[in-house]
Amino acid sequence: MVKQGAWGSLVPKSPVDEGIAGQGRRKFLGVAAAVMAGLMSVSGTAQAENLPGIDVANKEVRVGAFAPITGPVPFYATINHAADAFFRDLNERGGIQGWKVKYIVRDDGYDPAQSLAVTRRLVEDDDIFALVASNGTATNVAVIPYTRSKNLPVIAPSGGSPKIIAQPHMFPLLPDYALSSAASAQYALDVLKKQKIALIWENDELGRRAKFGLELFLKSRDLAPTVDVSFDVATTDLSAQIQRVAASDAEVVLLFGSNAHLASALRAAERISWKGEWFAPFFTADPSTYELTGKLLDGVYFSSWLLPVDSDREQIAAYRDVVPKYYPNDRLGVFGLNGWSAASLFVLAFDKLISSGQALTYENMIAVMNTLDGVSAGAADKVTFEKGDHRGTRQEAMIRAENGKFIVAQDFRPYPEVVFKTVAK
Amino acid sequence: MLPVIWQGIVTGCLYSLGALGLVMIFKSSRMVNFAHGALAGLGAFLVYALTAGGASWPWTAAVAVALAASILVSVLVYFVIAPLLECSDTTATIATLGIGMVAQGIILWQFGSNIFRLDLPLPNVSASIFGLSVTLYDVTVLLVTLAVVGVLFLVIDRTRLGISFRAASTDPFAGRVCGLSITRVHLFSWIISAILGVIAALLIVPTTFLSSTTVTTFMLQAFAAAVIGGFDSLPGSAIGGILVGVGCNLFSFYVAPELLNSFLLVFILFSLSCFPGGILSKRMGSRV
Repeated sequence: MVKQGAWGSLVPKSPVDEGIAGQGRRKFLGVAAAVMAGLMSVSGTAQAENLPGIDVANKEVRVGAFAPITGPVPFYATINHAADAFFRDLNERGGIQGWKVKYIVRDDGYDPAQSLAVTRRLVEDDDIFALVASNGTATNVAVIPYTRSKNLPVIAPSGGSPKIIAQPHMFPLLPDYALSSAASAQYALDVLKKQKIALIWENDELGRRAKFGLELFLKSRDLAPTVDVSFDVATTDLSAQIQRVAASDAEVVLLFGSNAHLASALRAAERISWKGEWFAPFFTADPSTYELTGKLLDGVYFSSWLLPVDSDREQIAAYRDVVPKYYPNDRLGVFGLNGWSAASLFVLAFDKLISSGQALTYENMIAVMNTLDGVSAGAADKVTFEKGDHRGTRQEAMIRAENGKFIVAQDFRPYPEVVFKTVAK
Repeated sequence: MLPVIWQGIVTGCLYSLGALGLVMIFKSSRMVNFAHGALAGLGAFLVYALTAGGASWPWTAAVAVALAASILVSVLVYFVIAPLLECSDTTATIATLGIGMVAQGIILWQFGSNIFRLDLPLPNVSASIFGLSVTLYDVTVLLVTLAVVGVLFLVIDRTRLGISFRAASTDPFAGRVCGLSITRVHLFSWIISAILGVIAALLIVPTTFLSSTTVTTFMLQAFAAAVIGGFDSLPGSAIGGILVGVGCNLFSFYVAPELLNSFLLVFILFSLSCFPGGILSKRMGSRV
């Protein structure tokens, strides 16, 4: 379907063009009026058919995403594979009240400049109703001005940044890492009864937010990290950082980096026989981390907004069944579960929008998203959005690695209030 | 402080092995092989594919195949580079950048950008000696480095090929006049370099894991070790590796790990200012 705006841009505007056109303008206007009248008579719902991303005749809604299919992190595209599998499975089972979802994923190579171009193409050429599980933090931040100018709903972008949370049209599931580090520290203090906490953090937005959250939370308990030591994202050997942690007499270490960094740190700790409790971010609670670490991962805790991939919950069991049918080469894990939950959130809200009987517009979709209160979306629990507060995930579970599996050590609990309130500001 | 120095020595041994591979080629042909890391990484990936990556070969057979394949690749690369080497050393050096990219491309094509685990087939044993935790891995790295360096120096010192290598690296023209085959000497240095590279890569990946970039990144530190050693001194680069390993570890522990790359550059500048010809160079005089 082509929008009127797109036609408008094709009409010649120069005086020369107008001069030539002027001779037959009356004739042209007459023909145009006749065509328009004909179209109106064919369908009385011309207004509805022009809704972006909505094909009323075929009962189809188009949604899209940019994803790093090529570039430095092609495995992140697993997120979008899982979302796609969710939609395809849903369509085969009858869709959302008879509505089918068409999911269009385009490659941005994990380059924020490309993400913007791809989003523009998705909106202006593919004519989408919403972005669902658009991939990456920096890439999602890059499209904020454009998507905001279009008021395009961005559902569950897989990026964790306060800038995303602050947008009225974006509905992230990923929490600010400040909340995860605070939740980890709370568990270490209150459940494990450990006082001396060290932090090893990746020297970028991920690590900086974790440091902010940890320091803020510990300050509220009149404590401070025994040591905090950073590393560059390209670092492959964390021996020096572990030596610093060991020298600080810490009992607990929070490591905010990738699964390769966690594996390297666990190895380094083993080499100097340092023993302590470990906490890592949710996305490292993945079978791929076990492949790198082996048994060293046993006992590591993960503060996570997603239930583990081994969970018995029906939606997670469905994820384990469905994704291999469409993407047999994809590993089952946190990335896929993330995309599965994103697609689930969209379907939940779209279903609610159809049931409300309101027009299927961007504005109404955003309004419906703002009414979600304590819903379960895939592997995420008690997801809530309200106008002016898009901290979708408001609590996390504590997951523990044990004998090659990930089990829930503590059920979902609200984030520490002092950090949760600060993030909202 | 002792554990920090110990870890530095172990890592430094690996830098030494990497640096020796770079220096072997530089000594014989006056060019820097920037593909050294990527080619060594290719060898490590071959071992991974034949063992943990699915084929389940015995470790020794996999290493033998990887070494043979690396030798073959290095001979092929040398014959690609040789005509350029006759044009100029710089042209050949730049060509190695391209070869490194091709090697990295092959890794990405076959294995993607994922990270893999490749452990040495060693039992997980450690002991505490004077309060220092020493693992079997640490001891293996030390012993293998000592053995490899020992054999290398014996070959260069005692064998006919080694003597030819020394003669050609000291004065290629005089060597040619005396009837030495420069191509043979070059091939000798490329093959030894390939073997050193694969051994270094296999020893480093248990701590850094294996990806398309890990061995190349590691070789940058080895490059620093070679520079500190003077780039044309084999004993100098071996000592340079240990100095870089210990220096980097001490700096990371006492100052700031995030400034490690800056430290490395300052370390190179300082070392070159004090010892322009490398740490083991003799002070040369000149007559006016």
